Amino acid sequence: MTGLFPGFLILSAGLFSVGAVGVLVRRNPLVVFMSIELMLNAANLALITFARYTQTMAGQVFALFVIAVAASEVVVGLALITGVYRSGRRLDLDELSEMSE
Amino acid sequence: MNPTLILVLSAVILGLPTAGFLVNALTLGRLPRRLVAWMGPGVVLAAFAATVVTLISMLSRPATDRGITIVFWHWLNASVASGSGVSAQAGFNANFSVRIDPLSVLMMLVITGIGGLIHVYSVGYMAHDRGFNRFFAYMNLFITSMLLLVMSNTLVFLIIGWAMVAFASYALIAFWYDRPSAVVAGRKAFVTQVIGDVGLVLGAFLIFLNLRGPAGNLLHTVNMQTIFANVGPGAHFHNGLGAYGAGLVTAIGILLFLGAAAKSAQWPLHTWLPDAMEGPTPVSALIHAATMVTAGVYLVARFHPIYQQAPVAAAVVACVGIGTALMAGIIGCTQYDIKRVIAYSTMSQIGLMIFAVGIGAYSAGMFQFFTHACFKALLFLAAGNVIHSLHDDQDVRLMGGLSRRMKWTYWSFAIGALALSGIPIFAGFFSKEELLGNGLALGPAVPWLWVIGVSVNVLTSFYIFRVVWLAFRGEPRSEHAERAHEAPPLMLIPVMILAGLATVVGFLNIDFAGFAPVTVFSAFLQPVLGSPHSQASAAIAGLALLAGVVLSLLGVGLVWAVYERGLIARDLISKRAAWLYRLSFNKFYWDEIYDVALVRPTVALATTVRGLIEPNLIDGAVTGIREVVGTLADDFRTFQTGYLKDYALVFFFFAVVGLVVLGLRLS
Amino acid sequence: MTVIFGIAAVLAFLGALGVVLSQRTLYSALSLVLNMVSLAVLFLLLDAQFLAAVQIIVYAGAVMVLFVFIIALLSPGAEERVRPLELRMLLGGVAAVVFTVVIGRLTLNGITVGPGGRFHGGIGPFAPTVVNAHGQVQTVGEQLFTTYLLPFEVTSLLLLVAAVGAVYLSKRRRLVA
Repeated sequence: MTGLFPGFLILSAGLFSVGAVGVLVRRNPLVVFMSIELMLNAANLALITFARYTQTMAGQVFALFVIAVAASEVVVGLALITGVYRSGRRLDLDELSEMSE
Repeated sequence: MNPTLILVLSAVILGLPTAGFLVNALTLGRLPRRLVAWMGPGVVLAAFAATVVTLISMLSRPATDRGITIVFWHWLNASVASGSGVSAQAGFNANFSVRIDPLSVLMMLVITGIGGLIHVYSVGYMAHDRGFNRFFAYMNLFITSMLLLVMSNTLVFLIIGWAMVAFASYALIAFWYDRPSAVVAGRKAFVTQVIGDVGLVLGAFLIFLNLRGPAGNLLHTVNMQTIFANVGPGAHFHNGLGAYGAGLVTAIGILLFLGAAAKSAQWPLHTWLPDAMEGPTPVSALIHAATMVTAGVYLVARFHPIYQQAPVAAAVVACVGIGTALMAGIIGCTQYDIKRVIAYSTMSQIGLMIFAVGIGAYSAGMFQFFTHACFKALLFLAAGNVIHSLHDDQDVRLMGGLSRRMKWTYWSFAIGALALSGIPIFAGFFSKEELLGNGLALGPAVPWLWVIGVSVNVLTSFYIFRVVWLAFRGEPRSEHAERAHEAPPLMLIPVMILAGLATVVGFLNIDFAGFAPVTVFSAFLQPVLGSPHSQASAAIAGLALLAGVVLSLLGVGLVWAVYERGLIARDLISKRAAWLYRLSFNKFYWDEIYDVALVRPTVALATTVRGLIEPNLIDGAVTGIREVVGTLADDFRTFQTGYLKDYALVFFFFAVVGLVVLGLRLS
Repeated sequence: MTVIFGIAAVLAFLGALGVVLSQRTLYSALSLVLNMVSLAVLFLLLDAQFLAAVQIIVYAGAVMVLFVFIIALLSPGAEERVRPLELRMLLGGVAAVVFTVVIGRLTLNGITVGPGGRFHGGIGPFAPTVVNAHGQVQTVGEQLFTTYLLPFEVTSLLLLVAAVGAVYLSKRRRLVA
């Protein structure tokens, strides 16, 4: 078991990277949200791995909080997406960007 | 002299015209005319009254105790503490202090007295002018500046007054700013003044840098009393400068004289004065006859301790003065503009004063200044009456026969002309004969200058009586001249007061005991200016007097012969010696020479600079910077895509870079 | 155990790639479900049974249902493909690979040494045997309501705000001017 910890952590880093690339590359806001969920999950995995490794509970409790935060973020985010959709715009983050000229 | 009394009096003398100017200027000309008509002359006449009180207080003291320095406030005090071999006087200290002594009181009397009369006259002369209030604001400013110039005890405030006078003169010459010729004349006067200012400032700076005290230490002072105390005979002005000492003093003398020449319209800085006649006639009387143009005489007289140490500079002063006197006299004989004739006359007379102070006859020069202020202001104001009644015609060819219609003005002008010519009993006689008598008595090379100076008498009486004949006698030569009328009392009374003065002030200097060495006026100035090196002996003085009077009468006789009886053809000179006539009529071509030598090269240089350097170097630098910045901005702008995700990408990328660095350090 | 880890890890990674690479949003969502279930398995391997359950219920259940529901509601079409070798993609990919490699290198260096090695956090009292003896849910619950009470309450506040915000945003009005 102990020997697998690096595996867990590398997997966590890999999932985080894939999520980050998703956030950076995809333009569909729904997919971007899912990528964010991916990154949060990867963080959760790391947290729980460390909790198990150090034989403490902090990591698990924190992972629980992360799940709560992720849930609320999804709720608000999806509400925003439906709002944008209702305002008649295409669901494309590059086009939605208000910072663009 | 009671210092407190003098303090109060000087504050009144300086403060009232200043207040008059400020009130007039800060209300932007919205004061009622009647108020300004009282206030403008009022402040100056009140200052005159205070000056008279000062004079009386001064005369009650013995001659050795008539100088007092009043410190109003300390300013820019950077004095070095005494000790370690440094004199307590050392250190820069530009106090605002005034010097009340016979010389400054004499100047103040003329400035406020004659100035006050001219102010009164102006109320009549400018009555219908749009810029009435502005005129009196400028006039009061001029009086303030001139008083500051003559009263200041420090070089700093002397220079400030000097420059303010130049500004006030500029503002008054260009008073009718809708006349292009007036604006150009004002500009010309101001530029010339600034050239002189440079000389004055440089001279003052050389004194400040090099003056040494009794112990051979550098004084670094701007206090004029300290300066004069330390440049006199046996002083240490040359210390530490070795063989260059004499050259330095000469340089200082010549630089100071550059300032004096610009103010007093002496060659080569004289061309502004005739053009300055574009200003209103009271301005010509106040600035260009009585006060400002004599500032140069005052400066040389005030700095006479330096000129006594610099014989070369003094000789330059004398030669320039006598040369200008001759040149201006020749020019005056052929001009037709009544004011220009008087302007050249002023230039010529001031040339004589400068000659006097150059040869060391300081009190003679100041006495000539004093009488000249009276009769020249008289001539200008009388000419102003003529011009006023002729609806601004200034050409004597359009006048004639005015003596019948303007009797009072005619007689006043005639008295002025007699005084100017040096005909006995009138003011100019006494001053000019003292001046020329001194000229004959002083120094070996001086007789030649004296011959020139006394010859100027012929020219002087010729050109001024030519004007008298052309303007007042004969038949009217224009419609305006036929309908000329006498001036209103407000303009006539100051003229008549001045006519009275021009008749009697000459007697001030006479001691009724023959040609004694010291006369009353000279004795009054003696504590400041000292006695002349040598006095004319009775025989020499008598000879000088006789020659002067004879030559003056010769000038009058010539006018009589040419213009009254026609014994000599009017065009004798223009026919027989056309070159001389053209030279005189075209004012020795100085304007043309300056145009070719200075103005055109400057304009050409400026055009070249505008054509080549301006677009390429100046604009090129500016646009070049813009282009560099613009290019860089365009390059950097590509980073600013405006897409949030690009920023996130950069953030992520560099977070990873940070992690790599951290990992390299940990492993 | 290693076999289960390997299978779950591969499935989780494939799920993640599916999320990012799928052209259709629904496939992304389904890939995410795969990823989450795999992660729940991994949680089990790490003796975090309670979190594995929460993961299934909250994520794979509630959150993913919400996602699928929204997808069904909005039915967004396939987005245009990102241009291949776009600078953005290249940089992101390079950063991602480097990130993974560095983390792997660091963990292989650091963690394999085990307790007392490079990792100085020490060993806590919650060994899996202890936790399991006490009961997994009980242990987490006790921690939540004692040591982590304040964050827990703040989380409840966060959820409340999120609910209010969602209601507010969903009201029928123009969101963007």
